[in-house]
Amino acid sequence: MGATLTAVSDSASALYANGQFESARTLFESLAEKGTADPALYYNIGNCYTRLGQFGEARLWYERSLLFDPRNEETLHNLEWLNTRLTDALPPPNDALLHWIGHQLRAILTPENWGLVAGMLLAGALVLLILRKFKRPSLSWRLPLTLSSMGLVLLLAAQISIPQSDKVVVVGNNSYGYSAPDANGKRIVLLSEGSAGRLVRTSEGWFYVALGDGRQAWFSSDHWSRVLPINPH
Amino acid sequence: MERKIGKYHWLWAFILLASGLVAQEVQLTARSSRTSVGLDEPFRVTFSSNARGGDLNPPNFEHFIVVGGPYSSQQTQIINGSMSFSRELTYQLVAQEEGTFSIGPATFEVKGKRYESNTLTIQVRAGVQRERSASPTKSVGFTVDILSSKKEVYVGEPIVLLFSATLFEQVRDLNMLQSPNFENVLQQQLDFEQQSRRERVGSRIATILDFDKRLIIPNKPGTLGGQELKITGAVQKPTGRRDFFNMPLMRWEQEVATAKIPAVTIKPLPTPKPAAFSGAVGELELVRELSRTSVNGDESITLKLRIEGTGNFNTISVPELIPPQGFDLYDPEFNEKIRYSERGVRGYKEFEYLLVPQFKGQFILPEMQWTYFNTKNGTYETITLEETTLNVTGEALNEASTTDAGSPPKVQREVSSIDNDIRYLQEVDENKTQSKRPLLWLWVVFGAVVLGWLLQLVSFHPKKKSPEAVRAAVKKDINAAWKTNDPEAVDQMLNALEGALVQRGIAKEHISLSTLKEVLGPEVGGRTNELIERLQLALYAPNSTGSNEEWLNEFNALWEQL
Repeated sequence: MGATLTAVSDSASALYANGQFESARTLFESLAEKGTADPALYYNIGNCYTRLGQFGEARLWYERSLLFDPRNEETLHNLEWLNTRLTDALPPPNDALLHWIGHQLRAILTPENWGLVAGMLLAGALVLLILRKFKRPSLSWRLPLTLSSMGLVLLLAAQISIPQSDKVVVVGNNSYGYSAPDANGKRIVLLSEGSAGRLVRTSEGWFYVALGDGRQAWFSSDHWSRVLPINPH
Repeated sequence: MERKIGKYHWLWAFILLASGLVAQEVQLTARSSRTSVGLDEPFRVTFSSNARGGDLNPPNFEHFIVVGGPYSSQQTQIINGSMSFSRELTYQLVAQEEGTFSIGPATFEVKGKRYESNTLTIQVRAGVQRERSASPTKSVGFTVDILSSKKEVYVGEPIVLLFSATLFEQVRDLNMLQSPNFENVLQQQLDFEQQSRRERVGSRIATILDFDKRLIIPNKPGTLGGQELKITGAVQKPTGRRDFFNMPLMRWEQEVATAKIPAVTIKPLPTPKPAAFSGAVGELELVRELSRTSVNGDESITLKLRIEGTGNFNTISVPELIPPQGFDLYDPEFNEKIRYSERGVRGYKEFEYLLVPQFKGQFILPEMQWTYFNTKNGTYETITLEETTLNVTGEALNEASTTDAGSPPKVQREVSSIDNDIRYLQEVDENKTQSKRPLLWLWVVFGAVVLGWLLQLVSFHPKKKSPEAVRAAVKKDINAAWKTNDPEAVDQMLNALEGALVQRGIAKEHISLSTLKEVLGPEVGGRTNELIERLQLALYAPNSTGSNEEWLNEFNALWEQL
């Protein structure tokens, strides 16, 4: 299985190197469909879309990659490169507080590593508690309590650092924003491909999106994609 | 001496007269020129006093309007050496409503003493209606009218009202006595310069004086209402006499003219109102003007967004422009030109934007819609400004990502510059898979730790056995030890006996034959003492022990009785 996946990845890379970006994209996306959850894979898909000139999709995949690997310099560079070419110069949308904290934590350790450290501390606390109960009643409660507390904090850190995002990106050519979730309503904004916002709420085929400049409007969900969950085409 | 007296006799006379006046009783009276008047018919009320000092305070002329005065006069008379003094204060009044009303007393205070005048009763009857179109009576010097730009409007549709006076005689000192306070309207006084012209009214030539102009925007359906407009003025009228040069003598008479609020019907806006209704009412147009649709990168586009026509410009705001793609939009310049006339409010309001291109390519100037109420058709109308494509050319600009679905196809961008290129592919780790519950195991561990802490709170205490059970268990243990020849069996048996005696109240150091007999009885006490002695001996001299079986039987027999 692993060998097959490696072969697919290598083939996609070779196609990309030959300028066959559409074929490379298809192969990379097939890996994502099979459950491979590697930020490098998302980054590669973003690169394919960039080469294809589909900047909305490209931004979407770069955002996904950064969500799992916030310090990846190549992804940061490519996203910056892309932003200078997007038509709408919108400021990035503000993250929700917990998402922002999670992003900061992921920049330090991956959620798995946070979980590993937390697990070790909690396991140590558990061993000490068992010893104290059944073998060494004289053992102080302070040490297991300290380990338990630290383990709990790190457990929460691990939980918060699990990637979450309410960011949405315009993947269609243009998207009109309306004052109400109704195509006959008043148009109040026009966004171009690659613009991003924060999804506030949804209503049958409509996204209510808060933009980075403070404006909010209803957009047809056909023109937008969520950064999470990851649904390859 | 006579000279001296003659020199000062005027002074003496004055002092005597003055003292005589002071001695007179102070009187304050009120009188009216008429006791029965018509509405808008001026009349005079005069207060007279014979006192020289003090201030006269007029009453509150409730139900009347002061149109002239106060005019003050004073008179000194010497008749047959008797000197009198009088002072008068005259007001010119006009009744505001029909009925019989009292004018309260005026007050006067001299040397701390307060005097009051009499009260006047005035009967007010209906006045004569005056219409400009009707032939005015000869006594009417002027009339006043409010002219409305429209007789029927919708809520929110502006009306211009012109206040106009028709002067048939020479009139001076025209003053507005009562301004019409319109109800349920937004009212604005317009900048206006008084204008006059000569016109034939009926059979007479009159001067038409337009003296005020107001904008009224009704906000409730119904009929325009409010209090009447009243103006006053002094009219020049002949006295019927002639002077030395045979010229007619004239006098100035105060007159009041009233104008009713024009009958304007205010119709409600149809319901339901469209959600996008802007609040604009009138005959309006939304216009978007572009200086050009194709520019070089170093040029800009001027865009004007304008509302023009006839309508409620005071409350209309130009809709906000949906910014076009690919352009920087600077703060707009605002222009307006509004003219208020009898035909309504005409003009325009305009925002002028400057669009500076940021990328080369084709960009959309978005479609705009604006809904207003058309008073001509009596319907809500939506003006749609269609999408417009703007072309930007020029080498200095990057190409942008956007294209419209209906516009030319997307251009494949070549990213050739290495320095400005995106980074190359990264190596994919195929083993990385996304778990649906990545930290489930950790929560399980945490749950175990919580259980560990709960365990610390729980202590294991074996169930307490009853004394009988304890005794049976001890007996069982001793029997078992004795049968297996356990070296500890003697010690166990001795300890058990001593423990049983302690429970009966005999301490270990007090065990003696006499104590045992006293507590347990002579027989059991003696047997117990004997067994204890044998056991003690066996404990210290194991080889001297007798029959083990016998001791065990004796122990079992005594154990039941202890």
